[in-house]
Amino acid sequence: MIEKLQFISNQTKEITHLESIQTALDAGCRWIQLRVKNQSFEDVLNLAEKAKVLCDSYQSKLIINDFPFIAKEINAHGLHLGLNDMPIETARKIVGKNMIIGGTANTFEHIVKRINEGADYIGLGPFQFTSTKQNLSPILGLEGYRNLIKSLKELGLSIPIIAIGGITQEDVAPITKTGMYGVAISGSIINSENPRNVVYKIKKILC
Amino acid sequence: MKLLAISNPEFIPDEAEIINSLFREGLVCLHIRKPESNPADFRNLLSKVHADFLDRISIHQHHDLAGEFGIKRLHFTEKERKSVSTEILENLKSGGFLLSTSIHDLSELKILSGLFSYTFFGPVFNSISKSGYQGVLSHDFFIEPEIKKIPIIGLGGINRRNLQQIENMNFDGAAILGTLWENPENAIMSFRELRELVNFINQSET
Repeated sequence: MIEKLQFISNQTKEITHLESIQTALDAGCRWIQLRVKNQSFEDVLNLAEKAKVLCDSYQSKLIINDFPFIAKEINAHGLHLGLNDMPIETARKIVGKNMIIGGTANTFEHIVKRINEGADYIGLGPFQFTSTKQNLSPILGLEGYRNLIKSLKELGLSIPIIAIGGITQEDVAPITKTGMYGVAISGSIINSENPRNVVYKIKKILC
Repeated sequence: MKLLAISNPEFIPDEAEIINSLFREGLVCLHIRKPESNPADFRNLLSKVHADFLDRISIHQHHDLAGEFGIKRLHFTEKERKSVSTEILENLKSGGFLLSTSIHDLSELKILSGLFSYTFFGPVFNSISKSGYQGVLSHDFFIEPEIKKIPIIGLGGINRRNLQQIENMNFDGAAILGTLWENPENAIMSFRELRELVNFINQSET
């Protein structure tokens, strides 16, 4: 079962990845993606081990971004691969059949490719501009989501698609109306005065 | 596919220790390539490599040091290949040396001497270590089996994320450089991860 609200970890000057995860768990998120960029394998492994302990204590699912060997080693719930990460087929050989694998997509071609690669869900974005990600692809917006969902329906294809990229609490309702399965959020939860309230409201819309 | 490594072009601190560790981790072949090096520094590095591992080393410069260290692999850059006589290559080969070279265009395979045991070809992807050194190949690039006179090793910008593509392009191996040396303190871990990845890629070959 793929959660409809997914939290993506983040590190800023003020907070560490683990602190961001702690905040999200306290707020009620139960699907956490550890997304660490530009750090060594050892550092990511170390963070992943700690994140796993945290998530387990909240009965939450941990997804590791970009590192199949780490996902396998710490027995994570899933693995997420960006467009420049290794192909899903290769990662599948490493983590086995049972682990959930999600893949990023920015275009219709990407979505079809991800479905053919055997992805369990797709992270589709960016919805709008976000400061938490470098080298952003062209933004899709509600119109983009609507068109892509329509094109998939026409081909008779179906896969859970998670909206990602600068999504705020106010965006969730219109996004779900486009036919998206769920949303991935980072900044809007961490930077909120009341994360618990934000998560509660989003979950109410999604579920 | 095989996984080879190429040294950092400049000497780095504790280089011999890292090289020895890589060999202990199962590295099958390291090309020592130091274009700007002087023989004394090159010799100094080789003298610190464990004797057991010297047979896995190929040298790009200072070929005259091979005898002193019992090194049996010599690499000829494209430029050297074009200036060296067939006679010299034949003598080296019959003297028990394993010879390799580099090409930058597949059409050169046709004119490549059969005395070479394998060749590098690249840059496949954009270089990690040389900025502005762009990959030359399209994503659907594929080496047709019939043009392969000798094994072809991909080179340039190869990392754990695109290693599968090297296999898909029908290369016989990958040579890693930047992904290993961008953070020398992480070289062993990077190599381990790539080695495991190669094992998975090779396991699934039919």
